[in-house]
Formats: sequence, structure tokens, C-alpha cells
Amino acid sequence: MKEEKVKFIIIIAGSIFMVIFCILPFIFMALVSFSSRPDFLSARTLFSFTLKNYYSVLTTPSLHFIDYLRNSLVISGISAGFCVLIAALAAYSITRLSLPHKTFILFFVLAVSMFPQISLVSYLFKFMAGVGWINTYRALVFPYIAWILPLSLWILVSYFAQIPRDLDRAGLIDGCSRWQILRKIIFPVAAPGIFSTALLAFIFAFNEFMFALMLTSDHHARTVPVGIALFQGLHGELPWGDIMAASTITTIPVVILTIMFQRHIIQGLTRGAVKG
Amino acid sequence: MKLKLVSLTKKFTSLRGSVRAVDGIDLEIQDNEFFVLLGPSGCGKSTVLNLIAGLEKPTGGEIWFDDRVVACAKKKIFFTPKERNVAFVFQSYALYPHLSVFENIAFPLRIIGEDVTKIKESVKRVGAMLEISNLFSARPCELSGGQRQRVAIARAIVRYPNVFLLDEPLSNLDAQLRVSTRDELKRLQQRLGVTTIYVTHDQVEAMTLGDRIALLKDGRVEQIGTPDQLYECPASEFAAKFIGSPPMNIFEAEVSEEGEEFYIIIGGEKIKMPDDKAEELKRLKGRSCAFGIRPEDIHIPAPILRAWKSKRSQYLKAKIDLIEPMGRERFFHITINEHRFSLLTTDVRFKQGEVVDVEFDLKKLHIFEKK
Amino acid sequence: MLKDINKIRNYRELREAYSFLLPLIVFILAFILLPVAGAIFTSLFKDISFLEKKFIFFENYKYLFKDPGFWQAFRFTMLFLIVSVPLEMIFGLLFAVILNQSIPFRGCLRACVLIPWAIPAAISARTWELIYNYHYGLANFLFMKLGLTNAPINWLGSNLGAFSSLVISDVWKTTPFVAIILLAGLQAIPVELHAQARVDRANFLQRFYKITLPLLKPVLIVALLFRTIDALRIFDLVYVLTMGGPGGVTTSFSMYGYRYFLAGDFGYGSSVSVVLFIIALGLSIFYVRIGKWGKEVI
Repeated sequence: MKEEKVKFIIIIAGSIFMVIFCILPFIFMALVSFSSRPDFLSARTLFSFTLKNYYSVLTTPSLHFIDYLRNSLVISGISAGFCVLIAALAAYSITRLSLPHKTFILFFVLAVSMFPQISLVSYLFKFMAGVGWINTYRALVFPYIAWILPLSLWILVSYFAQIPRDLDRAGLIDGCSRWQILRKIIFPVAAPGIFSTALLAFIFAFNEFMFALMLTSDHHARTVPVGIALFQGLHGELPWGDIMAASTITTIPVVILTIMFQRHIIQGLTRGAVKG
Repeated sequence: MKLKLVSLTKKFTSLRGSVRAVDGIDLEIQDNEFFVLLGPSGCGKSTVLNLIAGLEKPTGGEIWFDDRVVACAKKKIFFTPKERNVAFVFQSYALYPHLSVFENIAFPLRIIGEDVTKIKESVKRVGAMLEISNLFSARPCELSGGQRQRVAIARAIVRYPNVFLLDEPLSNLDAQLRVSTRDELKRLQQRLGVTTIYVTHDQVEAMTLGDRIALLKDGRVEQIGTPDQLYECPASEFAAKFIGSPPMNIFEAEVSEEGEEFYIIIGGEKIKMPDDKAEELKRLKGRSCAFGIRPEDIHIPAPILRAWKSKRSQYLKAKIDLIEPMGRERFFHITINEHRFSLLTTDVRFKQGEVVDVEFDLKKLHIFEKK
Repeated sequence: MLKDINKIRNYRELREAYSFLLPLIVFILAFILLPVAGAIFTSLFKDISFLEKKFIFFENYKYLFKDPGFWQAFRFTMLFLIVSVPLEMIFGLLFAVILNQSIPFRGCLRACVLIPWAIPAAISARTWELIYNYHYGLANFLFMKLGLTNAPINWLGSNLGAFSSLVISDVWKTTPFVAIILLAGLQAIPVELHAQARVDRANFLQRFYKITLPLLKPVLIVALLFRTIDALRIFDLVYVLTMGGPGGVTTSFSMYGYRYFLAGDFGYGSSVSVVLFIIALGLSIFYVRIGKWGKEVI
């Protein structure tokens, strides 16, 4: 009885600490973005609410925030879509067809995902410069697809492996070709898994930094993380209000997405990692 | 449709070596026949079914549908399940979880590109036949085991298959439902008049459903025949043990030959063999044999009869170890001079621990040659 | 004869299987393996923009091992790894244990924990930069209010401050990932085991040490592997928060290599990245060995 009570208190205290730990920086971020001056903590003046930071971020063309946001969304969306498609085909092959060395392929792909990005980036830079793709969407989409493939493959393999083989066999009996089995049975049945994977792939592409830093040069292809990291004021002092407003705008959709699809994200993440 | 399997073989090769799951099976299945493949798990019965369906390719032998070869390892002929037009009911039912019951049943028709009104008609027809029309909009996960089973059957028969294949379709149902579904299945098959091949490990199912049964063991056919043939004349000790519940008593006994007469010795008693059994023993002379007798063929004679018959019959002293009441009958575990037997009787007079006289019905004695 | 048919069949099926796998192979080959091979190749050259390319064999590596800047990056990266990864594992385990309890708003809590992980590191790093601001950052404000320090701390400007800033931000960012993975591991432990242990009168701590931890070991190793590799290649946080400063004490491997790429010295930069690659590979193999995981994948 007593142990239960102590345990309960510890857990509640732990939860509170956990929540504060996780969201305090965001609260600060939001506060600064709505504040007329970033130094309200030390200033003698009180916190005064304003929307001018948002207004300036969204309407000042020279800040290119809207461009960055669009670039990020388009690049991440295209990458995630193709990545899931390619990974799904491969996962089907690995789980369903008589492919030798399946385990080797899976682990090789996993090992590939351990490579440091810095070892890829010099070649990619030269390659993209060679074909004239630097600062285009293509320069990021192709490496992103490859970069996220290992994770997507692992998640999808674990989902596909769970679909009973009898469904494939029933499809064969009912007259499906391989391709029809994939399209009419495996894909729809694994739809939740495919959705989780796509969501994770999108988040990974959206968060990527180094490739975007090296392979883009301005607002034509630069993504939000790089845009915000390189955000400079027009004169000297960093425009913290603008930066935090831009950060908040970028963060809010991600937060909503995370809360809405919390279950899918967790499932996807743990499938990819714990399965092994 | 008539089916013929000619020395059908399937070898599975893996890194650990190869296994012959099916080892030279010859079978002929008649048109409209309800044919049962019976055997313990791992005997290759499901593999045979998969080979007939076209889900697996044989590594040897041929499969004929009427006078067409649909699979031949030598000539590299292989028809896909689609080309063979077979229907299959899986043990797990394998319903498509993302489709409604209606769409599940319609699925094979949609794949072959049937037109919409015809699909509707066909699905309604089988839905009515199997009494699942009220479930059309439900998803498979909302159905009970019995309902799923019906949907699986409906999907299988919706497009008039050449052959109807069932792989342990009743094993996921509870005992009561299994019996009622069994009857329905038999009636359905008679109504449809489709050649049906049914795989099971349950001998009761096989006996009640099958026009004929093939008993398989280790990838080979042990015996083929009607249920009665299998029960009355098991071809081997294995067949004898596998069919019948409770199983046949198998025992070894010394044989002695005195002139023209043969005796076997059980529990110290010499029992004279009737003429036909003596013939058989003569033929098997010098080889080791096992004897079998079904529990219902060991009798405990009533005392009056006993006195009257004692001249002609030979009784054995048996101790009743255990009595299991089974309703109409009682199942006795007895020992005759250290040998254990079981017998079935409707007699209720006896108690555990009693010693009684028993009599073997020697006409029903089976003699098996030991391999 | 039989063997022949098997072969032909296998060949056809194999072709089919590989055709489904082909796009994946092409992408990984073209955009990951080829670049790595390219980096190894380039590292053997003196390859500086606008200068003539010259094969110099292992000269870059020779220079590298004599370069104090390289050793500084090596020291920082290793120190960062040794400090931040254990902290992440401890916090992650703690969070996972809490999330595994049946408490109200569990789904909400999980979503909260996920948020730091889901936000681009560069963006949250920007917020952290402001938090660490000497004059009006949240960190100094809280530390002073709670009476932890008398004078404001120079977070990003001092050696220790910059290092701690990076560790704190990294722990904040990646603990959720560890927590979620460990949570899945915890949920895979059968409830009956804990019930049995309770019947056997093991207390909370005993149950944790004797049941939870040993059964969690494979998952712990997976999380450890992912975290180690990620910490090893840390870049965006450093880039935004300290730019490797002050005085280069927080220059990570990736940052160090990046500087050379930026300056157009691809040969030398590549040799740095190759060394990092080898370290990452070595560590992965080490973890896979001690974990023996992945025996039954499919």
C-alpha cells in the first residue's frame, strides 16, 4: 500500500518534470515570437504582446521565409513519397519472393544508414555541380531518397512480414498476378504501416541539415532548417523576434502532426529499431 | 472434373539439406467425388493440395485435370492457379481484411474483369446459398469464426471452379460448430457437384465427409479406400492405429502351429485361430507380425451366455483398471496378463478393479506384417 | 534433369525478386556507396578548388595525424559522445519507465515527449542559442532565480559552457528517441514476469534490476548503437550553437571536415570524413558483436 503511494508520487513528479523538460524551450520560443522585444526576461519593461514578428517574417520578401517553407515541404514530400514506394517494392521482394541472402541485404542496408553524412557530401557536391543541379530540388531529392531508404525499408519489412502468407496465396488462387497481389492486397492491408513510414520519412527529410546546407545556395532550393540557421538580420543585431516567429511557424505544423499521429510515429520508429 | 496424380514428388531444398514432402504419389480422383487426404501433421497432405492448386511446383511427376496435363516436371509444364480455375479454402480463411464481405466474395470476379451486374448477381447467389447476405457490408474482423468460414467458402465457389480444395477448413472452429459445418459442407458439395479435395488430420472428419479417403504417411500413400474399407480392412498397423476412435488395440503374441491348426498365445491362454486367420498366418510364417483388435470387438459375455458357450469360446482373465463413462458406452482399460487393452461396452455392471472374463471376436482380428 | 528445372525456375524467380529490389539498390549505390567510394578515392589526392589535382597517396592522412586541429576535433567528439550518450540513455530509460505506467493522459505525454525529436535540430538549436544568451536567455534567468549561480554564466563563450550547452541541447533533442525505443522494449516484457516477481516478494528496485534490465538489454544496445553513431556525426547543433567555438574547442569531426570542404580542400576534407567513417563502422561492428542482435529478422 505504502509502496504504491510512493510510486504514484514519483511517477507524477517524473511526468511533470518530463513534460517541462520537453516543452519549455517551445514555450520560450513562442513567448519571444510574440514579444515586442527578445530581452523581456531581463528588461525592466513588462512583456508586451505583438504580432509584428510574424508579420515581418511572412511579408518581408528579402527574408524568403515562405520560399524556404515551400522548398522544404515540396522536397520532403517528394522524397518521402518516392522513398516509401521504392522501399515498399524492396520490402515485398525481401519478405515474399525467393531472394537469397535476405538477412545480409537487410543488414547491409542498415550499415549503410550508419555512414556519416560528411563522407557523402563532398562527392555529392561535385556530382551535383557537375550535372548543374546545385541549388535545385533535384539536388536534395535524390540524396534524401537514398538517405531515408534504409529506415523505410526496415520499418516496411517488419510490417510486411506480419501479413499472413495465406493472403498472397488466396490472391494467387483468385487469379492475381504478382503485381496485382502487391497493389490490391499487400499495399492496402499494410496501409497503416505505409502511412507511418511515409510520415517518418517526411520528418527525416524535413529535418535534414547537412545536405541542404552544402547543396543549396539560396532561396530557390534552400530548406527551412538551413534558412533559419543562416537567418541574419539586415543590420548587425540578430532579429530574435523574427527567428522565433519563423521557428514557431515551422514548429506548429510538426507539433500538430506529431500529436495527431503520435501512435503511427511511435509504431514506425519502434518497428525500425526494436525489430532487430 | 477428373484428377490424376502420377508419381507426384515435391522436394524442398534448403541450406540444411532437402526434404521429400511428397514422395511419388499416385492418385485418381473421380468426377464429383468428395476426396479426403488424411494424415498426421507433416505427412505432406497440405503440400499435395498446394501442388494441385498450383501454389507449388512439383519437382517430379505429373498432374492431370481430365485429359490435360497441368503440371509436369519433366516437360516443364506448369499452369498457374488462375489457369487451372481452382478454388481454395484456407485453414486461416485468408479473407482480405481491408475489404468488406461483399468485396471479398467479389474479388476473384473483379480480377477476371467480370462486368458489374454479373458480379452483383453471382455474389448475391452464393450469399443466399450460404446464408450470409446480411453480412455483406461487414469487415472480416467483425465476423465470428463460423461466419468467416462461410465467407471463405463463398469466395471459393463464386466462380464455378473446376476443383474445390479445402485445407483443414474446420480446425479453427469450436467443436459444436465443427460438426454442424461438416454436415453443411457435405450437403453443399453434393448440391454443387464439384470435385472436392479435402485435407484434414482428423479421422472423424475424414470418415464422415469423404467418398473416398487417401491416408498419407511421410509423403506416401498408405491406403486408399472408402471410409468403410479403411475401417474394416486397414492395410497396415499405421492405418489401423490412425483410423477409429478410440484406437485399435495393437499387440504382439506368440504363434504356435500344431498340425493344420494355428494358435496365438495371449496371457498364457492358447487361442485357436479360425480358418481364414490360420490361412493368413500360414502365409506370413517366419515373419514377425502384430495383431490388432478394435475395442468394440472385445466382449465381456453375460454369465448365462458364458456357461452356455464355454465349450466353444475361449475366455481370457482381465482386470479392469479404469472405467471411462462416455454416455452411451463405457470405455474400459483392462490388463490381460500385463498386456494392456481397451474395450468398449454398453454393459454397466462392472466396477473398477474387478476381474472379468473377456472374449475376442476372432473374425475381426487383424494381422499386420511388421516392416 | 530435376536439378536443371530447379535452376531455371530459381533463375526466373530470382530475376523477379531482384527486379523489385532494383530501385533500392540503384539509389543506395548511386547516392551513398558511390559517394563513400568517391570520398575514399578523393582522400588520396591533393584536390583543392582551382588547383591542379595531384595523386599524393597517404599524404593527407599523414598530415592529418600530425594536425593538432584534427586531434582537437577527435577529443571533442569522443568527449561529447562519452558524456551525452550515457545521459541520454539514463533519461531515456527514466522516461520510458514513466511512460510505461498507466497514468492519465498517457497518449498526450507520449506526444509531448516526441516533439523535441520531431522538430528540425537546426530550428531547436536556434531556440537554444537564445536560451543560452548571456544577457537575456532563459537559462541564466532560471539559474539566477533558482539561486544556482550568483552571476550569469557565459554559456556559449566559455570552454566548459559551450561544451555543456551542446550536451544539454543534444540530450534534450534525442532523449525522446531513446525513450520511445526503450518503451517498446518495456512493453514487450510479459506482465506475468513482474507479477511472478511480486509474488516472490521482489521490491520495485529488485524487479527493475533482475527482470526489466536484463530483458531490455537487446533494445538498450540498439538504442545505444543509434545514439553513438548519431553523436559521432554531430553537426547541425554545433553549426548553429557554437560554430565550433570558442577557439575551436567544440569543433566536431563533421564540423572539421566541413570547414575544409567549405574552403575548397576536398582532398583533406575527404580524408577527415574517411576517418570518421571508419570509426563509425568499427563502433557499429562492436555493438553488433556484443548485442548479437538480428538473428531472427524475418
